[in-house]
Amino acid sequence: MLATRGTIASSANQGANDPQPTDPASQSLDSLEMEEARSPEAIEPDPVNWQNLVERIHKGEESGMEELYRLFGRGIRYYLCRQLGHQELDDKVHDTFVIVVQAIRRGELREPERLMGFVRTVVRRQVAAYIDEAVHSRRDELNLDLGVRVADRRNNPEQSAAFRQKVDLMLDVLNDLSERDREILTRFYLDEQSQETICREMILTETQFRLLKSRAKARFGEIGKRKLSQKPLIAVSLRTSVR
Amino acid sequence: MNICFESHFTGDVLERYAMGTLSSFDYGPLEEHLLLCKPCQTRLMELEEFVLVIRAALTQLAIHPQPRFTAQSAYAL
Repeated sequence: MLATRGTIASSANQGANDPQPTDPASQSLDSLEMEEARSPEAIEPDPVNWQNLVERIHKGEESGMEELYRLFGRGIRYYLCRQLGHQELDDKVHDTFVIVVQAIRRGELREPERLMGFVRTVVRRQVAAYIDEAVHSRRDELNLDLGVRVADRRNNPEQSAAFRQKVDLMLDVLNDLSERDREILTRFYLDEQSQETICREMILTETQFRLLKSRAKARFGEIGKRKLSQKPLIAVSLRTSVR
Repeated sequence: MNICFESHFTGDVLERYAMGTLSSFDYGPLEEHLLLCKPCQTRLMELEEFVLVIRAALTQLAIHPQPRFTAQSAYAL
């Protein structure tokens, strides 16, 4: 369950009970080059010397900054996109890097091996600042509620249509399930009941619970692939919608 | 340059992170891992999409339950 930090090398070792991945067409953060993540080089051992990296950035070496970007670019982009949506994403990523690099140059990172934690802290602060700014400007301009969600990932009609299609696929999957199985999924995903509570109240073992979830995911992926292969135009539309 | 991890977070943890239901959990190691680990980023994206979709579908079913075709309903016809 716990991730190792930094300079560790070995092959990927996913949890034994991991559910199956869903339909590949269900990608929403397209600009993150999803396929890259599946490529073999993504799991090749390649230790990072944090001390050396931080020193190079501290000295203002171009290679240090390039490596920092290579390491954290995708992760920062992903985190910001997840929290704030696509709007002005490149600028936000750039701002975050500038803050990190400037802080390192000022010698504010005393323990180079804590670079990951340092970057995370900067990114979180950036997110908080953007949300704060958005809430204030919206409140000033439109007198909106504070509870307005800042990020909206389905920010165009095509993406909304693609999402609607996926919901319809999911309805097919759910309608094929027994009422009991639907209730289990409702309790977990909608009512946010804990696995322990659900298993206790519905007299389920942990394995049965996990199996049900895995099967729903697998079925969703399976039906999705089948329907998309039957409707090439829709598939094209789905793919372009996430670009 | 890529970083390789000797272990990843389980799908269960990632799913609860996607759902926002990880209670009393130290998010630090997970979010640091996610900053660097492409496979886990990808996995989380897939799980988030799944959670969004299943929540929307279950909500729709809860609001407009679709009747199942049963022996009773056939008799009623």
